[in-house]
Amino acid sequence: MTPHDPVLARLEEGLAEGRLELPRCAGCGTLLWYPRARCPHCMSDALAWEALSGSGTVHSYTVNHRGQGEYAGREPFVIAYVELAEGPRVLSHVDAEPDSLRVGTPVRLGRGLDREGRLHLRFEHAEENA
Amino acid sequence: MTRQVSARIAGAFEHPLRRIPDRTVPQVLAEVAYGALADAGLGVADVDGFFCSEVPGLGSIAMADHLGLTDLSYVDVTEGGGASYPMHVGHAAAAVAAGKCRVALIAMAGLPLSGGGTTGGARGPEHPYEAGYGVTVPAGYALAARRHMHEYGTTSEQLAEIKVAAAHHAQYNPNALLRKPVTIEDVVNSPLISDPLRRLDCCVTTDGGGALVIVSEEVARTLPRRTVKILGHGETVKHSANGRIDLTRTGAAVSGPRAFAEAGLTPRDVDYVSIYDSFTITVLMSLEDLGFCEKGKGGGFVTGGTLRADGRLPFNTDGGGLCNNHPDSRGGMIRTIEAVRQLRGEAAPQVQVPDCRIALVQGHGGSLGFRTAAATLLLGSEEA
Ligand SMILES: [Zn+2]
Repeated sequence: MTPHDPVLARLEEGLAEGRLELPRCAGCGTLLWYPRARCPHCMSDALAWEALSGSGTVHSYTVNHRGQGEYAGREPFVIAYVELAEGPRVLSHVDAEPDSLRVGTPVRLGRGLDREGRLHLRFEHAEENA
Repeated sequence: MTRQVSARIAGAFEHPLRRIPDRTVPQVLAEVAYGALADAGLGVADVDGFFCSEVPGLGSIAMADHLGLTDLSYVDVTEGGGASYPMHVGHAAAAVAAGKCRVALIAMAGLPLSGGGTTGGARGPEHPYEAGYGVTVPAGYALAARRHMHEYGTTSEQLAEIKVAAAHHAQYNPNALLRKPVTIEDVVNSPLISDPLRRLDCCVTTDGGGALVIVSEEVARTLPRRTVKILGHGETVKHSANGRIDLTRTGAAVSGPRAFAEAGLTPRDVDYVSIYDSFTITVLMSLEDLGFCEKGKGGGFVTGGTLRADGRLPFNTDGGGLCNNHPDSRGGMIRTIEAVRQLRGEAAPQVQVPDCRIALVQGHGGSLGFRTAAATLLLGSEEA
């Protein structure tokens, strides 16, 4: 049984309403990823949640041809670090043809939650739905 | 030449089997622990320091009971994944130098093929942010490889050179899991696992284990076998840095310079390297970060047989984790043991580095795509 995590819950609440929000430290200005209850730079607990653009670029990616567990049989699928326009590099899925991706490809957040309402970032090509 | 020696490696033992369906993890651990003690010319009653992590039940405490260690004055359960064992060597040398113990036993075992795996561990704080994406171990390293290719132009053919050298060595190791030499074409035509990494870029999975015995200078003088000097040690943790992860650099960029400084050595002094080779990319990035070539030039550096026993920088002459052995998916123990063999002059004759005096061991634990422990050792022969 996992104890309640209010920081994760706050992130998921924002995503449920279509906003990607992350905590920014009021003490030193650091934007936090993954989100935490205390700033890992200056130790402050004065954190303000801030809405981000949802835009970014592919920082690195792999096309996984050997899925395990729930991903067995769903290959190939793209796992990426997306560098958000605001700085953090976040692990995510990219819903795109593998051959259409390069390091540096512009992407935007599509969905942020899975069907059960848990965090699951899915990006797509920026030009689609733009 | 007189060097500062904190302690010595007096015994080493690698389990000869790669698939062990008929024994438990504690039984295999006892085999390798007693094997290393016998190799050193010592017995369980001599052990006063014990270094052991990630074993079933109550960990090192249960294993001290199982092994019959009755007079322990120093215990270390440092957990650094596959880097744990070079970390343990550094910690044991420091404990011996501080007078906390005189004979330290380091032991590990695991049975991932036969179902006797070690404990899985509780979930870390990053779990909700990383666990749901189907990231396999190769996928994590593939994220690092792709970024390195992007920044520096590294190619799959260059990565393949690393596997080719390891396979060349493995043919001379009768215990190696994969003994067949391979070509660059074999590697780059093997099936994609996590693009850009292919099957032959990945290490083997094996049952087994290994152990080392670290002793004080005083104890070393009483022993019959050639010993290995511990000259330098460095370690660190490199992580995802609050979302600013640097995928192209390993912890060796920090642990390496610390170990070289402690030993008073430079990369030019090194005769042999044991480099953690969970994947080919792990080796390439480590060599850059350790200063054997400029950052980003690892691809050119490894091209043309550099890492073969007859090349400029012989590496993993047992076949490494890519071909020989990677027990419990933790390679740092076996990499250290092959460095001991080289410095004792006991590697396979076809791959023994002539007059091998200085060896480097680089361990990594965790994933280069996320967070790792890194440890570097500089070791010397009796003539060093
Ligand atoms: Zn702060």
